[in-house]
Amino acid sequence: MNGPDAIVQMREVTKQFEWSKALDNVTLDIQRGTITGILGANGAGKSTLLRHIIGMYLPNSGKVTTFGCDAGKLGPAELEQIGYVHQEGKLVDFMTVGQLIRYVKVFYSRWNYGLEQRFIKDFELNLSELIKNLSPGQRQRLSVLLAMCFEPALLLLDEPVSALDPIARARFLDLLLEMIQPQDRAIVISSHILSDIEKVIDRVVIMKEGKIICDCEFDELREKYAKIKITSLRGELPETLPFKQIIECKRNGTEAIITVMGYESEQLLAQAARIGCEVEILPMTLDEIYRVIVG
Amino acid sequence: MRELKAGLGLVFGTMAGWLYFFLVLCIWFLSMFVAPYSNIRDILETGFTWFIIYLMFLPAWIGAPILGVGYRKVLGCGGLFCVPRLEKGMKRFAIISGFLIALMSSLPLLLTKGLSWPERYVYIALSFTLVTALFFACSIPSPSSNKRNLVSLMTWVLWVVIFVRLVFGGEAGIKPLEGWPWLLAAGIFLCVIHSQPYRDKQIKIAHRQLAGSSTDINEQPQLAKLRIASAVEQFFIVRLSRCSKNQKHLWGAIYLCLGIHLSRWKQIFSLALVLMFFFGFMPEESTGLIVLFVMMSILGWGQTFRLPVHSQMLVQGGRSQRICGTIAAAIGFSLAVGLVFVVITGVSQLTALIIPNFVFRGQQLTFSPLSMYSAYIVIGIVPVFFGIALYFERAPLLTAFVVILISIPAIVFLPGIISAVFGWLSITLIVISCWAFLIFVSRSICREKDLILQTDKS
Repeated sequence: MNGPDAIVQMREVTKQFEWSKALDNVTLDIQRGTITGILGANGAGKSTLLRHIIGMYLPNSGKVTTFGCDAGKLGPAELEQIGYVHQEGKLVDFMTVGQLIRYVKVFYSRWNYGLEQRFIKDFELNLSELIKNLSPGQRQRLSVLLAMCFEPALLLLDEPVSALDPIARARFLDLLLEMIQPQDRAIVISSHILSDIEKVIDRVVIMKEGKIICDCEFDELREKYAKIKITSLRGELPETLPFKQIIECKRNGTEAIITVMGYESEQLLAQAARIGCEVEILPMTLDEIYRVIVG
Repeated sequence: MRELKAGLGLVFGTMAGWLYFFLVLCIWFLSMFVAPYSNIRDILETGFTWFIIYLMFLPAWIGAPILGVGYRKVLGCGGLFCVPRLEKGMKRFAIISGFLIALMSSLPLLLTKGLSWPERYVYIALSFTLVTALFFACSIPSPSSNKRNLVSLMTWVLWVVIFVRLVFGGEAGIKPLEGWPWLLAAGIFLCVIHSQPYRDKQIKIAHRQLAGSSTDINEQPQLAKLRIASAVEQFFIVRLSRCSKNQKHLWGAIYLCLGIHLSRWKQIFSLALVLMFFFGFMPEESTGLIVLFVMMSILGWGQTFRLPVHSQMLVQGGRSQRICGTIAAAIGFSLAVGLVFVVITGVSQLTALIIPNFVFRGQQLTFSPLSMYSAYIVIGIVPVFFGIALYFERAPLLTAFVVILISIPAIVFLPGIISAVFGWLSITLIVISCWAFLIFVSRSICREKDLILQTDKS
């Protein structure tokens, strides 16, 4: 997934914290016009990866380039194009919501006032509320507003929907899809709520113990894995099913549901017909694919 | 006991926790070692009254907030505050610790020279009571009221003063001069605990958020006091809008650091005026006290500092901008605090012309105006504090401890330096060194370290 048009280029990046290796030889490119989902268990290295992109973390080895500049040396010109929502929701506690918006706004020349008003209305933000008093969900909504209203070329979202209610999540995801319409932008989103992000992402990066174990287009991933329902038309299913690359199999007398990788539909139908079965190919959700890959 | 052990494991499971207690013990042993060679009369007469406070109160001063923060940390922890018997166990632990620390803090007085036995009892009782008051005001959270800690401490102090006057009276009681250390101690402790209610509130809010309920409406008026005033916001937003792109992060850093304090300028000046009278009647060698007080005040305000170095907001700029932003914030803060000192010093100079000398219980009290050196010292103290706070960003208690440690030589040596022939020159060199220290620390952190701390969870 490497290319010259990449906004972010990470090359063999390793990050060692005191007790653990958070990133292990990670190579990744973020292209314009894509929404990339970064998936992984807690401690897999998702936040660490995002923090390297904005230069807040420095790698022990390897190189991170953002907008053509060494991430550790990003200046106002590059940072003006980056929106970042961090999972902790750390904001300026003694300001009101309105004060913080006004403060952040002055740093950006391309602040979209209409979008700001839309966020305030949709997210039901009270401008006179002190940030200290906001709930985690409200803080997250405000963080999203602050990161998106200047329409950044690169939007990094670290668990942005974890504290949002279902309606706010749906609105937020709609906005993401609207935002990506101009092809010169890129969005990177890390989340545990896979059912939500699968609606918007077009590329998947799965991390495990600091390593990238899967990096491909989401459609490609969906084509690669499938869940197949096999129903025997002649009594019990045979003891051994003739399909290749079965990852998981749940069977019950005349029926079985198998998960396969790298299948071909025509070959599958022919094999099923030989053992007197009919098959139904069921699409797999991102959650199911993730569980298969991570194991 | 297992619940208590599990809870305490959180507090004392870290190296830092043990380091604090090791240091407290070291200071206590030092106090015990120094006490037999100290003559309290000499100490009082030479004006070094603060030394006694240090000697007796430092263990409690350090120990209490550590235990207090630990206590809150355990009770505020989502998975632990509902564990059966944990809260009771923690309280019991805090009470026993408080008693032991108060007892330990009073023991050096048994060995100090220059006290007759009735007086010695008074001092030991005073020390024990005040340390106990300090300890509980600092360490026990008050979920029901913000003012409870302050009120309990004030009550303790008043009780001690009244009790000693009634029971012992006359010569054995507190003479005005000898009373200063205790009043001073109370003042300092009030400053230390001033920051505590907000922590309590945070725990309350954390509990409610964990329980899924919204913030209690009743606490809004109290929390609402700590917010940026419209005029202050207007001033900075106009500056930020007009300045060039390269200057925005400088003004932004100053705004975040100073905005909240400028919004409370009336309260700050009122407090400074009260302190002006307090310090005005202190002995002439009280410069060290001013240093100590400023150190502790800055420490108290430290909670509201928003230095750009570790900010997760990208508007603070890249690594280079964060160095400049930190220096700008420190300069802005020093100038603001320095200005307060200059104004208060000016007022004290004028006041000295008006206030006559008066005699109180046989003691002649003279109001001495504050020296302009104080403002100069502040300009040196602020960068040191900022530098230490940056370096120990993950361990605010260690920051407090290091600040206290540094203030000891400052208190001991500064009066001598100021009165030396090249006083101004020495002070200038010290101030320059302090700023060089801040530049070095902020530069090394911004250039070489991770700017988001792994422990950032709030």
